[in-house]
Amino acid sequence: MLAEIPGIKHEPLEDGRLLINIGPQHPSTHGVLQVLVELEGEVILSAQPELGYLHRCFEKIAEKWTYPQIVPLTDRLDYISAIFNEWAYCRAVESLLEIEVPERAEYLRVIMAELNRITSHLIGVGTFGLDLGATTPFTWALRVREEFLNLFELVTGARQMNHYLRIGGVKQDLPEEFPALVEKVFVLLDEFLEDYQTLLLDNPIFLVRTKSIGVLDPQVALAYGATGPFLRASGVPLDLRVSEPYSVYDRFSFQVPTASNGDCYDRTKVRLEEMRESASIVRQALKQLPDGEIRAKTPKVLKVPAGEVYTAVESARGEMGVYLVSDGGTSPYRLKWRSPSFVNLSTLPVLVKGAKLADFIAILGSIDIILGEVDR
Amino acid sequence: MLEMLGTVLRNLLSPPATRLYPEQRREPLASTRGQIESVIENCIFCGHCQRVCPANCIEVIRTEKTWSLDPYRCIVCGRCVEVCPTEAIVMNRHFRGPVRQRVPLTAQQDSD
Repeated sequence: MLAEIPGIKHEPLEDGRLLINIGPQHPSTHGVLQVLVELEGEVILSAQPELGYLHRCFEKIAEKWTYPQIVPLTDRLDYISAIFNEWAYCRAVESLLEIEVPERAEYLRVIMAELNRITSHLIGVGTFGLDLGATTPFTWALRVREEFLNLFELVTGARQMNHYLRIGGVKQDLPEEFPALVEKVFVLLDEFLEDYQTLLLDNPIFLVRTKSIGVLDPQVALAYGATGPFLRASGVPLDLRVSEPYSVYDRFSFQVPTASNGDCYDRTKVRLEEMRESASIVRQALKQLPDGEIRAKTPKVLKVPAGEVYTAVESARGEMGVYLVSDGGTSPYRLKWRSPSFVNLSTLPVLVKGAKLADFIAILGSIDIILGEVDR
Repeated sequence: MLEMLGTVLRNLLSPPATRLYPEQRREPLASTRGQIESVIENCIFCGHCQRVCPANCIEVIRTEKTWSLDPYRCIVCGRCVEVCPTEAIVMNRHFRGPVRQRVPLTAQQDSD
């Protein structure tokens, strides 16, 4: 039975229109997302995303748990790039506690976060090829990603649910052989990026299916609050690492890749460029890495002074913000999560209106959503 | 065409990217979080691990001198290992295999 949704009638539709469900078990929805699509022929008249299949009451659970206990819980939101979740949350708590994070810890955070951005984009561009029917780039992307996950396992102890950041620093230092291992993996990454270019981006079928498909107007994007590579593909060079440099990002020189058309092709292209930039940031950070402590001293029972704060980091999908209200106790009074996937997904009805049904999957895949973060 | 030939030859001659899993297993890396184990001789039953556990899977009973963990609820975050003052909880690098029955991991200290 269909849910009651305002604006969509459940009686048989007149003049040959058709209402179909895409998802929640559709393989191209990257999780459990249901989209109600109204069609006329094969042209989409309207689309309505239905959320909530992966809702786990994260924000409510966080009100019962102590501050350090929430860190492993945040890993489960955007499970493809867990470091960003931890970072956004830890920054919020640290700014309320007024803790100074040691410099070396900040560098380690940057290194792991940028590596995580690469693994996340590898999944993003890999599955995008899969959505369009190209299976080879996906297996190639996962092969490279596996090498990155080994690095994560070496440093953080786990491949995806890292639990690496702590309030006031990081869990442990890098092993000695880490810079050499990173260089080895970056060679593989460069090979992959070249292969991906020839295999997919220069492929005529890929070009036909992505060029001028799902064009996002920059004004619309800004009005909806879209962020990340999704927005930058429309030509808006907004990146929190540059516009409000947090941590030690002001010490690295890197480009913010943008594109002008805002179609599916540009979004993929921007993600590929970002992987190169992230690799360059990791190289610079490893070169500048200072000595010193990796964790500030925090009390054993953490009581955060009353107050409220909003902090954000530039995650692989955009601005990941945390609004934290504390009443002076050992657990948050309120923890609100601004997830970039959710905001970017809200542009879907605008993007697919008037598009063909066959392009719907390409457009949805190019937004690069993670349902664990959309529903929380 | 020539480029394709090169790719074909390279893929023919290079070893596969995957392992034959059940026969060949990768050694876990130095800091891999596999499973939690107890060294009950060191335990002082302070209950600190029980309080920090996010999954609420550890139970410490001071009067009976027992420490038990539900391994199927544990998310292996490693907080208990970090906070333990006497190194009575250690991290094993190997993952826990599948089982038919959920049996909690219980350790009891001999009373002197």
